[in-house]
Amino acid sequence: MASSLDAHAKPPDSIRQIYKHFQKLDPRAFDQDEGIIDTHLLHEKHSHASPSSLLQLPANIRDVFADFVGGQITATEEAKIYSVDAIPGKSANLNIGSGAVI
Amino acid sequence: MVGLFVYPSLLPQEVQIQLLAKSFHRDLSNQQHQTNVHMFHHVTYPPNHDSYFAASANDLVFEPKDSAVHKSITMQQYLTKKLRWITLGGQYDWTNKVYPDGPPPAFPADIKGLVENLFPMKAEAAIVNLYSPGDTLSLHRDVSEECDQPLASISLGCDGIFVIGLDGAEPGEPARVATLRLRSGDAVLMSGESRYAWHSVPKILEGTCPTWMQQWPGSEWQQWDGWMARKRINLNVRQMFD
Repeated sequence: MASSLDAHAKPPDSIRQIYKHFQKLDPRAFDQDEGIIDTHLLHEKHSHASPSSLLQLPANIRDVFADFVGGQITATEEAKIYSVDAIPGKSANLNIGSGAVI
Repeated sequence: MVGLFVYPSLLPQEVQIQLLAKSFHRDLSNQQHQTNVHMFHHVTYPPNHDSYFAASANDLVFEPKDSAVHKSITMQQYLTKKLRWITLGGQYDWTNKVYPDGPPPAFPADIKGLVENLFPMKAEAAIVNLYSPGDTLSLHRDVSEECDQPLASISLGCDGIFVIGLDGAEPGEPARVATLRLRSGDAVLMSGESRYAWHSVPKILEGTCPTWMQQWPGSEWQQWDGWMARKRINLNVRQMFD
């Protein structure tokens, strides 16, 4: 359970190094970095994410949006959902807890 | 249904604009919803529940609780730089990293309806994070909710770089890390193991706010016209209880 994880724990060094890398990276370099999952490019084949059918959006999604704004919604593309390959889909209850892997 | 899911361009422009309006013109002026500034300053409110962007709020000044430590904050300072987060619904105690005892304030009903229709979760607490270019969110994990339900994250404004990672699946194996460039209207759902993953925002990319959003809140709000051009807003919604 979440309550068994320490909110004050320090992050692993390897992940912190990646954070620092991107913090220092020149903004112009982000366009060229193929390791970054750019959400605008996911409709093309992408090596780090895959279309997912595990989740679905409501069939009446336009009505959901229209209700929220209190008016009409202009035409939108059909929304799709992708899963990120590096971050796995395992059960939280099997993997979260004291002594767990994170 | 577990893992890290991305919903590119999920929200239409009208929905994004309404999320900004409801969060900043309405909820920010509601005393139930605390901000980072409340910790060290006496926050005063515009008359008649007006927006902080309204002319009636121009002359407000927040005095520090301890003048030896903090300075007063003008509206220009507040909306440009000092306001970093707003809590909606359950009011997270960032100092002690817990939720206070007792029932939380009601979550805004319209935002709750939107989130619960789109994502498999209840919307009970949210943090609205504000970023400008140069701002970051350090690596952390959200472990204080008393349930293993997903967490939904909606991006508005400038692009943000989002790093999320878990330790190796087995001791000695490399960390599992993904880096995403999140754009206005995108949503991310963190569920299962990723719900408690380390995550951070190391960079906000200046000049990437969509053209149609840059002028928000618009010329009718006088000096705040164009405020969004240099902002990234992240609405981060959690379920607190199973």
